[in-house]
Amino acid sequence: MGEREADQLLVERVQAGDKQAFGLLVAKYQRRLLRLVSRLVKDQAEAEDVAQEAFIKAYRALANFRGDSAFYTWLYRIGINTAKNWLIANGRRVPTSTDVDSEEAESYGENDLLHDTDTPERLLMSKQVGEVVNQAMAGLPDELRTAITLREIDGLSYEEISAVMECPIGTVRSRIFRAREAIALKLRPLLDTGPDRRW
Amino acid sequence: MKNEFSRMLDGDLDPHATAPVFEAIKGDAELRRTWSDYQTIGSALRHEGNLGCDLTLRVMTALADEPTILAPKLRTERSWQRPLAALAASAAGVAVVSWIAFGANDFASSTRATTVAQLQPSTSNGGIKPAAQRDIQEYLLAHQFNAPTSRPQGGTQNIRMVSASGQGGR
Repeated sequence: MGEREADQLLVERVQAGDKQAFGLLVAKYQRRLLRLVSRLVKDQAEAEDVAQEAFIKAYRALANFRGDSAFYTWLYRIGINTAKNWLIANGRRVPTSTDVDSEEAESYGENDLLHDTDTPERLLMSKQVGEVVNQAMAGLPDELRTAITLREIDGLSYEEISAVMECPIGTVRSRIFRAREAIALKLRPLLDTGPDRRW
Repeated sequence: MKNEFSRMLDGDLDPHATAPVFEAIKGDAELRRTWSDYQTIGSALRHEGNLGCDLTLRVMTALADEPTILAPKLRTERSWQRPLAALAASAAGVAVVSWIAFGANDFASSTRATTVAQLQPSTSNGGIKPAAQRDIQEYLLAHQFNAPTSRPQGGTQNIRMVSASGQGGR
C-alpha cells in the first residue's frame, strides 16, 4: 500500500462518517497547503484563513471524491481556487495559471523558508522545532538515522529501505518507529507550549 | 498502537489492519498528538517550513458543526470479474455471428439444391406436355426469383432463368 492508497483509506473513513479521520489528513497536509496558499496570499494570517477555508471546502466536497486523482492533487486544486477567489474578492491581482500549479506545489527547496512570512512568535517556534529535530537526529544511532532519512527525505518504501540497508523489512519498521519516537520525545515539550493549541 | 501508527503513516499497514487504529484514534487525544508529532518531524526533515503553525484544531473546530459525511461506498469491481465478463461477451458475439453465417448458409444451400433439382430436365415428365412443362418451369423460376430468400438478389437469377428457358429451344 503506497501513500496514495493510505490517503484513500483515510478518505473512505471520512466518507463513512468518521470525522476524526479528516483531522489526520489536515495534520498531514496542512503545511504543504499553507506553503502553496502563501505563494498567492502573502499575509500569513490571511493565508492561514484561506488554508482553513480550503480544508473546509474539501471536507464538504469529499462525498464526491472518488479517488480518480491522488487526494493531495485534488486538495491542492481546491487550495489554489480558494486562494484565487480570495484574491478576487479582495481586489488583488490573480496570478496566471503558470505562476502556481500543482506540479510546482509539489516541489520545494531551501528558498521556501525565505517565503515564510510568519509572525515573529511562529518564526521562532518554527526555528526551534527545526533545531530540536536536527539535534535529535544527530543523537540517533546511525541505523535509525539512516532509516528515517531514507523514508522521510528520500521517500523510499520499506521494501526499498530494506534492500538499501540489507536488513529484514521488520527491522526497517522497528528502526523508523524508534527514530520517530526518539525525536518526538525531544519535540513534545516544545510543541505542547507552542502558539497553537493542539488537536 | 504507536508502532501501527508509524506504519500507517508510511502506507505500510494492511488496509484490514487500519480499522482498530482508526477506532483507537477516536477516543485518544494522545494518539492524535502522536500523529501530528510524526507529521511535524517529517515536515522538519524535509524543510517544509511553517513548523510553528498547527491548523488542525482550528479546522476541526470549524468542522464541528458541519454535518457528518455519509457517502455511499463505491462498488468495487473484483479483479476476476472484468476478464470473465469480456470472455463471456466475446463467446456470445462469436456464437451470434456463427449462427448468422452458418445457419443462413445451410438454409441457402438447401434452397439452392431444391432449385437445381427443379431445373434438371426430367427424363420422365409424367405425361406433361413439353410446352406445359416449360411454362411450369418458368413459373417456378419466376417464383424463386421473387420469393424472399436470404440469397443475394441480382443478375445470377436472370442468367439462370434465361439458361433454363434456353433449354427449351428458345
